[in-house]
Amino acid sequence: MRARSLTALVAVAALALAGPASAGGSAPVKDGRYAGGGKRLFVFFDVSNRTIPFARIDSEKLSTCAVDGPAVFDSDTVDAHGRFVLKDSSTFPNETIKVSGRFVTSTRVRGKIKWTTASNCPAGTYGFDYRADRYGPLE
Amino acid sequence: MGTAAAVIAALALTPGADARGPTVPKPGTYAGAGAMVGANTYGMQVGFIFKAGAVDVRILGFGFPGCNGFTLVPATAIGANKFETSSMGGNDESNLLKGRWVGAGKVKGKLVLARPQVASCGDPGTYVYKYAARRYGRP
Repeated sequence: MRARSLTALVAVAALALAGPASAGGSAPVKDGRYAGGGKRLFVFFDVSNRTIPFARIDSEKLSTCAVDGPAVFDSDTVDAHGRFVLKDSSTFPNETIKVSGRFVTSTRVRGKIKWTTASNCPAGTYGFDYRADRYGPLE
Repeated sequence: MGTAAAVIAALALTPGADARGPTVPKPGTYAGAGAMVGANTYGMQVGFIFKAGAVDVRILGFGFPGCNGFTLVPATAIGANKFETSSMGGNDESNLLKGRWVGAGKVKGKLVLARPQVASCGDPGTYVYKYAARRYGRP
């Protein structure tokens, strides 16, 4: 009885350590419209068949450094571990913005925005944490 | 017994109140999304900062291509857990955004767009969106 309980406990612990990815499959990711943010930061993106074709961020932290308006990112595919990386190196000259995220559940994302600037603020790389949730289906 | 029933009835009649007391909005950065009523198209994006009893809308996007970017006048929260803000756009268009805290960090609300004339995007008419938003960081 004790051995059986221990086995079950080990199995549960292994699943917990594996994160959202199920055994032998990909992390479940639900299509839809996602919104979220962090301190004075807004993040919006869509998920369709594990790809993220659209993303938008807006931040007062960025705008105080002469980056105006939302950035628009290249699409990316969510990998088997629920992770993705979106990059924008074309919206603003001398700026690179990278949004990385991980699905901690099928409808909830935690991630980081890494912003590298060559000319402002002063020049350097800045990081901002964000969270996002699914709010509804795609059109 | 009669007193308890009266207290429960009074709580039920008080907006934003429940058995734990009235909802106290938490200052912070809020983001969310919504859908046009009757269409189930989650094309609306909203982001605002709530600080010192006032709401400053930073993001307001909706499902008309090319129609993003309306600027709303910052609103002071009304009756502790509600806010309302509006603006006028070109072609006599008016935008009214309402919100109500349903929890310390949760908001539900409505956006009403009145477009009396033919504009560069979308047809004339009144469009109503319902949205939900959550707190994602400090203000």
